[in-house]
Amino acid sequence: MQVTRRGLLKFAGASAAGILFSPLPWKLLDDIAIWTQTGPWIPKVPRGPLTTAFSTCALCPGGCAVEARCAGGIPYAMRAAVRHTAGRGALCPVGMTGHHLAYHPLRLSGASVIRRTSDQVETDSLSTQEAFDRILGALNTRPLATGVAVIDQRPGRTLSGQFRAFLAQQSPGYYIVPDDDRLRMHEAFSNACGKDGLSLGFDIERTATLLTIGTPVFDGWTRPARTAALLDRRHDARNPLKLIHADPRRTRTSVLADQWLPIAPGSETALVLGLTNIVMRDHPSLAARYVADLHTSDRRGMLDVLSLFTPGIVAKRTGIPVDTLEKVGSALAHRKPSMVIAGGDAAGPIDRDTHQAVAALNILLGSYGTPGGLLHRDELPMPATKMAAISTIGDVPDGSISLLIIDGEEMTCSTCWESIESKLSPDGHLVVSTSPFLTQLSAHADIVLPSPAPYETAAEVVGDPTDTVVSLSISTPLLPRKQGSVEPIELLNHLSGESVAMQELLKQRIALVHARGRGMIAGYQDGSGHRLSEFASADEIWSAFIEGAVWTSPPLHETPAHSYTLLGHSPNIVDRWAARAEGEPNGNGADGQVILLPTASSDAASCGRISPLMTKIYQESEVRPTRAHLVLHPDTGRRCGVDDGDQAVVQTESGSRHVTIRFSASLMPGVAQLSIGPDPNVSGKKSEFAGSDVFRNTLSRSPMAGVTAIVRRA
Amino acid sequence: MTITRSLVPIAGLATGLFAGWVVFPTVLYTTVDQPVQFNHAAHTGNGAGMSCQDCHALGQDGRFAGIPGIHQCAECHEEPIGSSENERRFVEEYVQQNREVPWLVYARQPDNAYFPHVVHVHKAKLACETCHGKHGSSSGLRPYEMNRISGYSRDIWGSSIAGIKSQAWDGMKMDDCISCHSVHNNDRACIDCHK
Repeated sequence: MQVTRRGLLKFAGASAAGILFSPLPWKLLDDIAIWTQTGPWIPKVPRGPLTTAFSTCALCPGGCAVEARCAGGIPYAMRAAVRHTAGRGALCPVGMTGHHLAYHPLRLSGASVIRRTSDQVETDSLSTQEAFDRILGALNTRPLATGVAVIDQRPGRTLSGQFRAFLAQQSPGYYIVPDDDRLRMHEAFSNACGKDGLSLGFDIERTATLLTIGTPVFDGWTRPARTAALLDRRHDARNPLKLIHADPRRTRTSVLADQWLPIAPGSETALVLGLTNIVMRDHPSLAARYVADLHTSDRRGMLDVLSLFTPGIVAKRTGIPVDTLEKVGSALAHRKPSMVIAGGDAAGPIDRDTHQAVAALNILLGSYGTPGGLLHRDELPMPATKMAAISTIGDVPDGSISLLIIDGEEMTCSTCWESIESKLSPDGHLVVSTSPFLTQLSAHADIVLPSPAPYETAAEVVGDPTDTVVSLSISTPLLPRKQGSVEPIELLNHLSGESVAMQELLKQRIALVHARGRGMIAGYQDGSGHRLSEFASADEIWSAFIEGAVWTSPPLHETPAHSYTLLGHSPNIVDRWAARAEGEPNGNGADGQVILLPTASSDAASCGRISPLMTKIYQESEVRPTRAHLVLHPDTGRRCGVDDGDQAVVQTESGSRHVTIRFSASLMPGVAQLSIGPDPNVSGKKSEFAGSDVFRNTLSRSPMAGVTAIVRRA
Repeated sequence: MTITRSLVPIAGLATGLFAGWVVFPTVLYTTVDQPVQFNHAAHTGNGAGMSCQDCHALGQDGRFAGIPGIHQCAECHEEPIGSSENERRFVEEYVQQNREVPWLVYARQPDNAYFPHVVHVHKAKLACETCHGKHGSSSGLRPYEMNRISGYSRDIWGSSIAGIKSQAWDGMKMDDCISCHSVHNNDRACIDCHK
């Protein structure tokens, strides 16, 4: 038989077909796919004795206690430390994967100069000493009248005190903290009570009726244990919670709340003043108790402005029916203790006038200074040295910063790059980041001095800022520190010519805690804790901290003020409140116009990098809406000429972004939701920031007011 | 001639099928003998009457001890029991030299999979045989079949190259975990196993 080319081809083709009908290709694919998990670049869990270590999660200020299972001394699994008071056995998914971050692909291995090309952010390495020298050079040769600034994303730490002490020696030196709702709430209460330096926490554990204005209480606003307890209390027969959530956006809290008030965008002030009107009208005893003590002019002004917010007018403005408003007002007045919380969303702070109205309503409801309401927090002691004043980015004059140090990598709306950029000196500036990862704000820096990753160094955790209980703990290192990482204190030492060790500073602070003798120390074995007096010395407390203990201090029993100024001494606030009685209508979708509302996750994911495992889960499940999805009501979408799944462009007066349309019938017509903040899907690429300026003009407004936008098919 | 010509594609098909079903599995797996033979049956049941947990214990904290260390074997085998060559070698080469036996573990999972025995044994009340088959009553250790590409044991994929399960314990891939969890109406999150 003659072998022909045709015959060979037939034989080969048939063999290939035969192989296709065998397990060979599929098994081969399956086995090769495993290489993606066993490659040399994948961190391996060492073989060795299995042990348990305890630490505190430092990914967000919550400070949950974690139990790490280790093999060969290296953690391979994290879970909540069940009996510990810090966390009470709850840990968020981001915290459960916190030990992955040391191996994050975007982690920087040493000091780097950042180069921004057309579509990528790239790095050139330099030695730590070279980086120090360049930063010191920028400090010493800065132009006259320009200053040094530090953006501290986690104020209240010992390191924060060191930053402030360093800046106090600079002229001018700006210590900048995020301009968030907590800061604005304290301003409002300080105005109303005539007291400065208030520090308040929310006693949500004992609240019976809670009205939240855009606050994501069920989605990362507070630490997981409190969130879980709050969720459970909705069905608790003895101590039930009624949560009323007012928000034009459909969020997880909107879905899980007992009652969702889908208010029209920008109508939150009208809602609060309308409810104040109802409470004062229907409960004259409340009004008499508090309003009688008001200054005469204040009382007159308050009553005048409230007369503009009748239930009928507020119903028209907010889109909430009159009888619903009456019922909410009645619940706040009758189901005590009641409290109103505004803001706290990572999408940006609510405006100050709304906070002033919320403070006034809380005072009228008797929520200020009483259990189940807002309680005075104890203060964490800080060594007494001369410190720079606390300011926000808005307080800093434009073009006045020549050296900027950004500590932490979180990029909330109040510290987004657009708000920082205008503050830099046009005559030359140097931006330094201490983030361990090349992402978010560090991608805008000139030099990154990467700090150790989570669990690589002893990090101070100052506790959940929403809680009435103040806490302090140390995130004990569980991993060896990576070579090339730089503690921010080392940079400060170099700039100030001093030589202090972070551990010594932490010990000094713990000595101050011990000297005050207030509060309890709770460890892992004994959740009930021990009084400070049981510890003979600060060194004993330090040893307990290293083993994962936490210091907690209960709220202070301060007598509430007798005299309030509900208008908060704010000039023209009556006029500004009055203007809120009438508002702009929602976008109706005609010509593609909508009101665009920003949303952002408020959990630990918004505070920095997340594990690639979580990125994968987010991508595949759409648990978190990405920045690439615009969510709107089907009717609104059709009026805009787009359909579910369409590629579209959303355009505001400040920018545009390419998006994929997602329809959701639960969203109110005329509005659209777009996620802001970090997008793990495009981390490390310049596209991470593309289109981030669509909300630039919302910085001075509430995220619930939104911006007018046009949606069109791409 | 016509018949011969028409046989060419049939021969090709047969060759492809033979390569895929017979040659490939033979080439894919390499067999390695265990360092020393072990008779489970002699230790369990009517033998020494031991249970699985006597050697493969779960600690008080729920941690699975896995294969016992040589010190545990030495409690009974300080001197050879019986006269078999295997026993003599085991005692002389490992017990008396206090050297751990480098067992090849048939059920070893990839590093990225976290499997808590305690939850499955104590909470779900699963018998060891559910996943490990009749390993506990075997009189010898079969050769370890190692996948040349992935490096894993053949027990992970299962005995059938086509991936068809003959028994519940035949195969320990993620799909097997998921299908068992689905049957017991216990769907879990990725993070439960992939820490």
